[in-house]
Amino acid sequence: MTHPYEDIPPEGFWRSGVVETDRMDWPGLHKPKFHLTHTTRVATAGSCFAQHIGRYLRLAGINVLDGEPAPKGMGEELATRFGYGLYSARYGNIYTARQMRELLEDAMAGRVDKRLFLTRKGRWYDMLRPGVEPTGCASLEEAMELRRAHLEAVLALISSTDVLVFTLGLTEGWIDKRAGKTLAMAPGVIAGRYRERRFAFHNFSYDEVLEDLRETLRLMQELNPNIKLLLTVSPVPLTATASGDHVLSASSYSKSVLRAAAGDVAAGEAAVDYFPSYEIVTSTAMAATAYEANLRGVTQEMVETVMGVFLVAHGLLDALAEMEAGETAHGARAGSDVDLRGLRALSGPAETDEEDADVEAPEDELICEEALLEALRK
Amino acid sequence: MSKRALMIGNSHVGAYMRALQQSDQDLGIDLECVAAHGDRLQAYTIEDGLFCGNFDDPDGKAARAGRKERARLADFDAILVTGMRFSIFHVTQVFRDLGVVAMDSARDHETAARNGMTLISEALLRRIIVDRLSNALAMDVVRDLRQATDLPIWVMCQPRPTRQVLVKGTRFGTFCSALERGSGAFISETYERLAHETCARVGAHYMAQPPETIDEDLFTDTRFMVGTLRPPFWQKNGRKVDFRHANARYGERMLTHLAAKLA
Repeated sequence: MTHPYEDIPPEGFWRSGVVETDRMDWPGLHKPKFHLTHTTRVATAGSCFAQHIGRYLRLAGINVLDGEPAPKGMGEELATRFGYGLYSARYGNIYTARQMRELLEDAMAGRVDKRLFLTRKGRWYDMLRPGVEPTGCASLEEAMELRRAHLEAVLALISSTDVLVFTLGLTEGWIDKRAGKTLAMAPGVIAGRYRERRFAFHNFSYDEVLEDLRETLRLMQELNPNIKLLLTVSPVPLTATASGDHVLSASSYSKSVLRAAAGDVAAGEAAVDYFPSYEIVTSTAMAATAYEANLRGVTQEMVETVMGVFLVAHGLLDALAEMEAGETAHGARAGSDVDLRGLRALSGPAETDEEDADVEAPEDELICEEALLEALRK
Repeated sequence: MSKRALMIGNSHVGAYMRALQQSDQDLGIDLECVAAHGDRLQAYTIEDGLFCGNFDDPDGKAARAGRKERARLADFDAILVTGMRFSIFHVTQVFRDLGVVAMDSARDHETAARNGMTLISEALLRRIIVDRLSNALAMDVVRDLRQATDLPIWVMCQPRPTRQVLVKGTRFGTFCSALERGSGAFISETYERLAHETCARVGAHYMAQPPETIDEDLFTDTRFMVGTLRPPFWQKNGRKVDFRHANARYGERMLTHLAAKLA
């Protein structure tokens, strides 16, 4: 070897790895540490982009767990509005690593703090998941009992999960100083009233996110020693920042910290892997097609590409193609166009099956409380 | 002077038709009826002020029973709707698996779990039940009628079943579990409240089941059911029994209440 770059594979060079590569498949981009199969019990959690991941994993026939299923006979629209089926439990959007850590701590301690329930127009809201009861609860007692039931469901879920796919969304959060807990939303957006003495803005640092992810893993493994954590970073930029910076800089900071922390946890822990959905979407090579007109929502085509890369890397698209129509399965190979068409056939606009209709929903139709911030703009 | 009302429904119209035939007193209401069994009215149309049932009556059974296939809305003072899946049956089913803290059987998450129920919020319970009631064929009819006429529309409460639903052979698990859990009063109150609300949302009035006809919240006193026999019925000890359809006595009570409202 005359220089250290001599034996580097094509994906190690920008030209062959990005400019000239097949940007539908991104060969070599994701090399899973552990493989998902159709029998792997997968749970999902995270920011709103994680809803795409859960939905496509289900479409691909992956065993995505649902620890709090919607009541029988409940319409899909109503179920979604009340936080059912978005993730593997009704925790709503978990934007920060700290929220995930604190959710597990509370679940394991069976701890429900009444200070974390705030009112609006006489209705009570769980500030750790305010979106799952869109009109609030009739009483504090009801809201607290529902949280207790939720925490038990989270415990049962983590105890029976093989792989938790956790999508990191933000570093910015709001902390209730009295309760010492990170809220899902800024106070006053859905319920409560913002008071400086009680609530504090916090932009989590790299060290904090790293520690929170490590603690999340430790807590999960305490419940379930064999569980694995698959991290992704949401490519959806911040709706708004309270940092005082320009939202572009703030978004870049958030995503950079999350990306670095996720990568480092994955590098240091055998039970943690990182999937580069963030890189695929935000790559300069994909700039023209990645985002909706609002420059936040990820296009359906791009979500398909992301999930195609994921499923191919895990060898799941082959199996899916075989499970699906015979003509699709013929000659199906990992990474081939045929495979991706197989995925699109399940999810694309040509489908008329009502069950698949939600796949066509653009980002704006995800349940994303963070987007409420836009409505508060002066 | 009697009010003229058009009654639209399914087999539950029988109680009212018989009441008018059998009552000794003037109930203050004359009824015409467009009705067909079960969901057979689902092909109904309303065009140019004419309600048409569009059901098959090849042997003339409906006509012999005094039921018409069509009626002009302008000929009446009020429209009554009954049956067609707007009933406590559909509400009771919800409580088989779900509970709210206001129910003793689900007062906290542990009690709910012990009783095999998932705890949900009252807000969600309300939405689920309103959705169920709103999806009943009766509500489709009401919504379309509301577009076609300004006449008052009354949804006449389908009676609760008799206790026969607790008996092996005709057993309805949902009613049994509701009784065992002591949730009958809560279910009954919830049904009545949300039935009123659902009807009001589509511009109709709801005529509740008269309290004197109700037996322990969830059931109808047998005196208001005995003597009816309409499909579907069940065989019990070799005898046909009907635990869903009210008799003329029930129809008379309801019409008396209605006449007072329309006066």
